[in-house]
Amino acid sequence: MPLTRRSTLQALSALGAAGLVARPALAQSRTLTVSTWGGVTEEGLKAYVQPEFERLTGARLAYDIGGQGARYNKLLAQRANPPADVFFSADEAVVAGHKAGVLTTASRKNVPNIADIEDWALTVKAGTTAETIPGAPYTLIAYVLGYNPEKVKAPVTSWADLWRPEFQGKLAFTSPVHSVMPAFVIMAAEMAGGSIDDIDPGFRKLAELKPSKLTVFWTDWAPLAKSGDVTMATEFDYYFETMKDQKYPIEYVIPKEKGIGVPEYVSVVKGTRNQELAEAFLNLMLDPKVQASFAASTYSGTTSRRAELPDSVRSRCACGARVDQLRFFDPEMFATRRALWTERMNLEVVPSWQAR
Amino acid sequence: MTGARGVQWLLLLPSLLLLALLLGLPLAAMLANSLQPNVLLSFTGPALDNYGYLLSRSYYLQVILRTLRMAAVTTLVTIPLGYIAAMLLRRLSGRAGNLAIMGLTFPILAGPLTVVLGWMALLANGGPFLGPLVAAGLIGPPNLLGSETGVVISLVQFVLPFAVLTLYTGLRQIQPQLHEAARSLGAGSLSGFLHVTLPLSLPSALSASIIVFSLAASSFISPHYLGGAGQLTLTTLVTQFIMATFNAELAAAAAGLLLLLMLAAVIGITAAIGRFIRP
Repeated sequence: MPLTRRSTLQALSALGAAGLVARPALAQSRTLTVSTWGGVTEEGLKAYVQPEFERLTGARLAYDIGGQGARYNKLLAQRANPPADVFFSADEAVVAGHKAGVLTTASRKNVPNIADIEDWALTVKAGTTAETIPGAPYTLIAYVLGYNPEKVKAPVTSWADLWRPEFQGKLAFTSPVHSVMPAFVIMAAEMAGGSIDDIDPGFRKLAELKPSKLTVFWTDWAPLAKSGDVTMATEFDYYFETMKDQKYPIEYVIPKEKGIGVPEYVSVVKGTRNQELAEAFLNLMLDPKVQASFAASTYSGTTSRRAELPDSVRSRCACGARVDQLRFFDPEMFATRRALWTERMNLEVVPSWQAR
Repeated sequence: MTGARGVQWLLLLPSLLLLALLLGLPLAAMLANSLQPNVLLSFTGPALDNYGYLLSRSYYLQVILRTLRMAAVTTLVTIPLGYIAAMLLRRLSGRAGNLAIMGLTFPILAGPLTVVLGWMALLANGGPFLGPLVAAGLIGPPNLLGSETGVVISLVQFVLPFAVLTLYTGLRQIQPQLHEAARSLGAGSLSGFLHVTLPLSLPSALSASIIVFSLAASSFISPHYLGGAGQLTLTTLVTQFIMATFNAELAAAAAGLLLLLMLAAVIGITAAIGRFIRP
């Protein structure tokens, strides 16, 4: 049929009629909105979780994509009518979210896969009871130390290498607002003879660094690694692996004092009308097969004891034996101290970084 | 009130309502929030403690000064550059003029983020322009990324089209007969410019300055990507408070300060340039 205005109109009105017929069916099917990161996480969900979820529940998945901070602020602002049903975040935001009353617990009985999750992944204690869990720790990522192997001669082995004179002014370092910043304050304090309870030496020690770029996301500094302006960087292991795939001149090590282990959670948003669907989603994120697929495509580590990974994947993510090389900090402690410590970083440390 | 006046107000009503609803209410809510206690400061609200806190820390005063300095330098560099470009543009006729305007507005169409990411690559010490110069030993590493200069360079590029278009419109409104009259009275090109073009273009220079200053002081992408956490401005500070420490109250106070400073700057610029404008 040649495409005339009339035939086009006819076709369009037929489509419209079909839409009207289909509408009652759509209204019946439920939708679970997932608040998560774009990029590898969103792609991984669409590839490995969405088909299985829709098959199991008959419900559909929708996405609310953005950085964790922006999405968390949405939860705070729209309590009465939550913008999502489940929320992806690092463990500290789970603690903060429960405290602020924007996240809620899940029923242990509806998330049976939680029984197979490694103990080290269960960092959030609030909300953990015989019947409930605060959320589902579905992956583990590690914050480690990277360097340009073409420019660095002496081996890099320790967080102390951040202070090596050759890297001053060539260093992409954790921004004061980065999620792992409190870990650096503690580790720097320990290096300078202090501790969590004697934290001042940490701020003084950090002030001795001379970063050339403060970063929150790997793309902040990646172009500078290519141009040679950055020869050392702190970053998550799975981003380093992504960069290696993209032929960036970068290698990384887990420092001998241990890398920073960060379990990432998916939790239920308080006020959701889909509590059971949300719990089904949490359970699926803890499924060993889903975790293995995720690890293979994103290099983020598995948390299920039953997840089986080929060696080629295992060697490139925070999985298995590498977990022993990681240190897990208490997210509760981060959540209580973050506001004050960020302020101290800004007022005491950043000014000396600027003087260069 | 006469009938015609009444109709005028009636016609204005929809836009006024829209402004009051969409801008006024959220702004009022934000300012009210800025008077409340938060995770960092405990006091009995509503009170001005958040403002007091920001204005009593030298670090935050530096942030405020940096914001004003960047915006001022950007304005001082952009207005003369934009003026020259607008003068040249006025001489171009027809198709060439249209093409030039299209070229000028292209960076706006591309969006500030794309352009700033381009600057990130260009301004790197090892970038395509600076890299060879540094490698050849012709210049020392300029370290423009993470510096105020780097941010200002990108801000000037970002606001320049707005300045040129505003100035160009102003220059076009000057009647050509006035130039002819000046010439017939013996004015050279310099004296014609100083006594005819410049005074008549001052109103558009005033608007351009206000636009440029406001855009520069309130810009976020350039200071975020090219300045970073080491060179905070009020906009990136607001983001830090909101995104990192979830301190909406202190963020609101910082935003309130920005608003106040911009208002003061607009009044200052109007007073400074306005006194040269003849009624």
